Amino acid sequence: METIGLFFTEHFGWIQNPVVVARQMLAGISNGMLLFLISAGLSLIFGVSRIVNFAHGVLFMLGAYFALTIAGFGPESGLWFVLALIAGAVGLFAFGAAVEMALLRPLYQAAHEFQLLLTFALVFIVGDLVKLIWGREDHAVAVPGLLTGSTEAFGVTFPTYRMFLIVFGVLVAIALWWVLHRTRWGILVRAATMDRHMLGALGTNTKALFTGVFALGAALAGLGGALAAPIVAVGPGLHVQVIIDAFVVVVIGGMASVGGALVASLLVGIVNAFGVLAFPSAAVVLTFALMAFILIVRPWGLFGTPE
Amino acid sequence: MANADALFHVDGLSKQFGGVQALANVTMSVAPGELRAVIGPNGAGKSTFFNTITGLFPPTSGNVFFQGERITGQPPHALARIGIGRTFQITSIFRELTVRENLQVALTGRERRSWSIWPKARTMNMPRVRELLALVGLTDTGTRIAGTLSHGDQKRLELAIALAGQPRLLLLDEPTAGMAAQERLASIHLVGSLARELGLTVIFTEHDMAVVFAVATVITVLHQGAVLAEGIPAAVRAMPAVQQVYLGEAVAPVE
Repeated sequence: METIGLFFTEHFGWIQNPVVVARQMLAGISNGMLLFLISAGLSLIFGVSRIVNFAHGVLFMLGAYFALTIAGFGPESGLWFVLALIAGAVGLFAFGAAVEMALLRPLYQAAHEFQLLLTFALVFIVGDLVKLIWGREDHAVAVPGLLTGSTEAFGVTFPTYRMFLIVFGVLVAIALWWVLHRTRWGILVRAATMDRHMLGALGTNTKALFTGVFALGAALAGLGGALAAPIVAVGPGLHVQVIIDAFVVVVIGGMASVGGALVASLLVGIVNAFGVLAFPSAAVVLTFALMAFILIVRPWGLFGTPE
Repeated sequence: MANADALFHVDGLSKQFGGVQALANVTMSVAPGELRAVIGPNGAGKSTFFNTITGLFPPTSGNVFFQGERITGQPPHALARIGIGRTFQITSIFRELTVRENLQVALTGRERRSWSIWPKARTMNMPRVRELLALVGLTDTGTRIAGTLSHGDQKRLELAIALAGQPRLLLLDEPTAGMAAQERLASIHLVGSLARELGLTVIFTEHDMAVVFAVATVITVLHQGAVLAEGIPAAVRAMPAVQQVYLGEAVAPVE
C-alpha cells in the first residue's frame, strides 16, 4: 500500500493542484491545435493522392523559418507577425504546389516505394538547405506585443499566446470544414478520398485536384510552423518530433479524416502535456501506447473507414 | 470502317495477357438505339472486352470507334467527355457522400469547372440533380448518405451518375450483378425504358439469360475470346453452336 501511495505522489501529485492541471491542459490543447494544422494536411494528402508525405515535418519547419525571417523585420510588431503568418502559409502553398508538380506528379504511376523515397529525400534536402540559409543554431521569434503576457480565465492565469493559438486553431478547423463540405472544390476533394479513379473517369481534372490538395496541406503545415515559431526553438531539428507526432495523429484519427485529425491532435497534445508531468522521462512512450491501443481496437483509426 | 451507320464499332480487337489470348479478333457494329447484350460463358472474354473498350487497358491490336472517331485506348475521362457513360460490375458510387453530392460531383466533372472553388455547393446544379433522381426513381433520397442506400438503389444512383454526363452510349458491365432475381428484371427494365426515353444506345455484358432476353435487341455471343454468334435474340437462341456452348444452361427463357 505504501509503495502505491509513494508512486502516486511521485508521479501524480500534481493532480491536487488545479492551477497546474489547468495550465497543462491549456498547453496540451494549444499544442494539439498546432498538431492539427500539420496532420490535417498530411491526412488530406494521403487521402486524395495516397502519398505518405514524410516531408510534411520539414514543410512545417520551413513555415517557422519563413516566419523567423519576416518577423525579424519588426520584432514584437503585430503587423509583421501577421505578415509572418501569411508568409508561412502562402510561401508553403507555393512551395507545395511546385514540389507536387515538379517531383511528385511524375511518380503517381510509379511504385509506392519511389514516392516514399522522394518525400524522404526531401526531408534531407530541405533540412540541409535550411542549414545553408539560416545556419545550424536555434533561433527565437518574439511573441508580438499584443499577445505577450498572460490572461486570466477561470481564476487561472494563462499565457495569452497559448489562448490565441487555440482560438486560431478552432477558426482554421471551422474554415477547413466549410471548404470541404460547402464548396464545389471540397466535395471533389472528399470524393477523391473515396475513389479518385472514379472521379477522374467522371471527367474531373484530378491532376489539378492533387496539386491543390498538396499545396493546401503544405500551406496548413507552413501556417502551423509560423504559429509555432514564437513558442519553439526554430532550428534545423524542429521537424523531427513534429512529423512523428503528426503520423501518430493520422493513425489515431484515421487516414483522410480531417475531423479525426482534430480529435486525435487534441488527444495527443493533452496526453503529451500530462505525460510530461507524470513520467517526464517516458512521456513519448505514452502517445505511442495510445496509438498502439487504437491500432488494436480500431485499426482504421477513430474516424477512418475500414478498407 | 465496315459499317458507316454504326454509332459504335469495334474492329479486329485482340488482347493478349502473357500467353493467354483473352480476346481474338473481335469485330462488331452497334447501331444507334440498339440495346446490345454481350454474353458468353465464364471466361469467354466479356470482362476483358468491356475493360478494353472502356480504355481500362489498351488492346494488343485492333481499334474502337465511336461516331466514326477512333477512341482506342482513350482514358475513361476522355470517353466521358465525348458521350460515353459506363457503370461497373462493382458498384461505383462515392459511399460517404450524399446522393445529391454524388450527382453534383458527376455533373461538375462534365462541366469542366472543377477549378472554380467557390461555393454554392448546396445549390450547385440542383435542377439537373432532381431531374436525374426522378429519372432513376430516387426522388426524396437526395440528402441520404449513398452508402446507406439498398443495393438496388445504389445501382440506380450509379446509373444516374452515368447519365449525368448526358451520354449517347451507355456501357454497363454486368448491371444486375449481386441483385436478387426480381430486382434484376426491374433494374434492366429501367435501363431499357431510360434508353428509349433518352434515345440512348446501350451495350451491356450479362450472364443472366432472363435479363438478356428481357431487353436486348441484338445479342453478341463471345466464346474463348472470339465472336461465336450475333443476331436478334430469337435467332441467337436457336443457333446450335450457342446451345452447345451453353450446354446445361437454359438459353431459352422460361415462358
